Amino acid sequence: MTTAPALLQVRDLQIEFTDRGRVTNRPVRGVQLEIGSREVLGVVGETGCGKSITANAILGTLPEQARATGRIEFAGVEQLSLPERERAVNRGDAISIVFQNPGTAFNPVFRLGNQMRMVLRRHRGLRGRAATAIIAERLSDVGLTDTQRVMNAYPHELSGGMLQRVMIAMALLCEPRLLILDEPTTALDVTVARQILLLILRLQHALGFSVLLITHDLGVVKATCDRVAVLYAGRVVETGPADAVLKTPKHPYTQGLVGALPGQSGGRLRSIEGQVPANFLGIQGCAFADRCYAAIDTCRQVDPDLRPVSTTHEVACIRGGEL
Amino acid sequence: MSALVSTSSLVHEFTSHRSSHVALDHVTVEIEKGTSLGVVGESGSGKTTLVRCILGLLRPTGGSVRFDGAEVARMSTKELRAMRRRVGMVFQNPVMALDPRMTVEESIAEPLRVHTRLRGADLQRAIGEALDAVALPQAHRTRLPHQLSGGQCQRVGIARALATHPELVILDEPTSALDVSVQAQILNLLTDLRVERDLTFVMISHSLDVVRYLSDDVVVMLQGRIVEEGTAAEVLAAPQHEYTQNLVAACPTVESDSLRFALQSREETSK
Amino acid sequence: MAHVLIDPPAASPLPPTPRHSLLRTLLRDRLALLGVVLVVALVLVAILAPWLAPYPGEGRGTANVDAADLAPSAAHPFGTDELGRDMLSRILMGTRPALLISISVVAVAALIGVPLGAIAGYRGGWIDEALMRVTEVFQSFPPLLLAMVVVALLGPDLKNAALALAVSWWPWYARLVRGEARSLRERPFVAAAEAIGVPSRTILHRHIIKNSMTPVLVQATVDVGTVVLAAGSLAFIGLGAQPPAPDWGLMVAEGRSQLFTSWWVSTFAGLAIFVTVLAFNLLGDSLRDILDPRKAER
Repeated sequence: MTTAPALLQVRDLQIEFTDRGRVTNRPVRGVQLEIGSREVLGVVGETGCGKSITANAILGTLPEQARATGRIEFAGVEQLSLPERERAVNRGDAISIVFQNPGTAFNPVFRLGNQMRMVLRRHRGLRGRAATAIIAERLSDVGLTDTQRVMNAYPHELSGGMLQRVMIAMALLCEPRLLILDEPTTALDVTVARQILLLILRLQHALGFSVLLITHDLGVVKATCDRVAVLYAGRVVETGPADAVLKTPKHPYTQGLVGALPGQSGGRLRSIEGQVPANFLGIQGCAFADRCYAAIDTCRQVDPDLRPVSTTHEVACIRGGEL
Repeated sequence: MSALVSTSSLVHEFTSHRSSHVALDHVTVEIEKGTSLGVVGESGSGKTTLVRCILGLLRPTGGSVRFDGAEVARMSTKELRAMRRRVGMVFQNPVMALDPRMTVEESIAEPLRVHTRLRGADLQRAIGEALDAVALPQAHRTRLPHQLSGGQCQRVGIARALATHPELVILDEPTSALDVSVQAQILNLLTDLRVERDLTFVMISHSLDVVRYLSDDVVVMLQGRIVEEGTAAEVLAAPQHEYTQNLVAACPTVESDSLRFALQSREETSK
Repeated sequence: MAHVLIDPPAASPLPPTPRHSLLRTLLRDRLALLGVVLVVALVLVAILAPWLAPYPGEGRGTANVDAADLAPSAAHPFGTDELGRDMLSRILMGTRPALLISISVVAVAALIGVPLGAIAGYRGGWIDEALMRVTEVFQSFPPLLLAMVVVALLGPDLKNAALALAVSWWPWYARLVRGEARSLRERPFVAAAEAIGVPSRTILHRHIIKNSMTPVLVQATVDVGTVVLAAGSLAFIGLGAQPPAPDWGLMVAEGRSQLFTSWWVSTFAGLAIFVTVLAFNLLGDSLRDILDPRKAER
């Protein structure tokens, strides 16, 4: 599918939390991701599976006590070994992010226009009229035509849906090559959410950036993504084209997630027993084995790597082919 | 069959010093014993106000709410309390709805202390039964909310709502804060409890899938008014009102098509 | 009844108990440990002073003019004052009254302020307005001035000084708790309790007051030190403890006239006040972290 070199390549990303030299948790345990240019990749999984912290690692905004190893290649440049100063240059420029809750992501005491101007000043050195022109253009791109009023507004004066549009406009100010969306519609009403998703896809089509979409909603993945990576306990357990993964999931965890949705059919819902472990340090073998309907003895000893089940579809399960 | 809860032409207007806002505009619903009603709508549609009026927490500006035939607005404090014993409520955010400093057993004991005379060993037995009903291990009695997962907290919330053996259970977005696999556990649990105890459900939700799964009937609310009602299966399969149609179309499911097709076809038609 | 359920969750492992983490917090945070050690030492001194003091009689006030104004030495590590009393004994014997006064002032202030603040914050409306205006009236006087007025009315002695301080201290607790109560009132668990039908008096004490105790305890701990300082100031200007009581503020005042000849009298008394204020401040700061039920386990 992606013959051109990937825009973003994450190889064996490991993240450890340490407290005074002692490792207290390992929230990411060897994540592999790849996003081609103009591609929309969905990252799904339940709370505490390591989705957001992976995004933080890509952006370079990990908390102080976290240590990341492995490789994160963005546009051919390894990021983890870069000094913080150089990574900060990319943030909000070539890579930018849209957060889940538009209501709290803006500073409440500054006008929205001023918050957007700061981005352009930081990354492009633009001020005054030149900056205003770009901001107005981006705002009308996201469907906010009364640009003057939006720029003069404080965050609390706009609805959640409008604020999310402003945040998208702000993320696109410097024409990023990769846009990270962290649960962009979870805090919104369904009809507003649909508009936002449509908007993102339209902009992605027009401007040609790549998208990393973090969500727990498989419906959103189906609606928007080319490919999907399913995360469980800090590892990618299944990845492939969104259609294939959702229609014929091969990993028992993905199967569980799809089966747990209350769909059209009714009847008893298939739920996954138990819960995501709170700490991933002591995990031996496959992390999902304890909750898996198909676990065999080997599952508790071997932690499987991703293996292809078709040319584009990969599963990290020793019984992946047969289930 | 008789209606357990009915509202007729219910109006509620919020007035502040400058403006007034009609949260409920002549809302009439009938909830039969043993049925499950889904209330669907977006934020600001009046769903929550409706529930608060039914509970007697808000005084309607006009119209009436009847619980088992009795007018809620005319109830004395004592009658109101007797009514609340027959109503349980499950909240949206399971962790926040529990007092962070109260253990699981203290939280479950709260409605029992208020509404029953159970004390001592009898109270402990009732707490034990409530925990069994939601399949929480007895060992969790002395835990605090932050020592439990979201799904476990919601089980505590359900145990608390059902501890006094109510007839009506009001569910305010009971699964929207939970992950899908946990949501499935909670929905299964609610279905089982409903059958076992012959409960009447009123559920607020924005997830049409959840409503389709748990509700017999549905009312769709928009700006304080009911714009469509009927059986959940019919309304969600063939919505009549434009707003309901939008709502159904807007809910992305694994079975629906990619939005990209919608986008492409729209662009083609506009060209 | 549970037979229908397909997924009975097993008991997940219990996080460490708070006591365990208290020890860990103390070992990790040196300053907190210092605060605890100092406060424990102060309390022990307060209890054991009559046995610890080399001259307990002099500590209580018996003069010994033969040994007046002696500089610090092996026999009198902190020297003696102009009446020949051993300063070390005076300071040790002064610990108990200082802590007793201060703790009772804080306790009385909290007992008045916490319930009033909780009611004002939870109920809102005119009760809130009225109570807050009253606290503002009290707070618009400098506490020391207010205390002086009370003492002037009732006469200078230690009990009146304590009463005066409690009168000027309670509004701070009322306002602190009111703020907490106002934000707690909006929390879902309070709405949940209301929906269950829990009477508001029960909500007030079980949910509102209990959940606002962390900042109150922190503030009260810090205030124990601050009140020692305030009571000392009252004594210093002659409105608190009266001679020959072993009061640190009084000792600073007594030593003031000979500050250049017998520096040790005021200095060691002042140091005692300083150490007490510091100890309770450190303890108060570390309590803030320890008492938070969520933070406790990290």
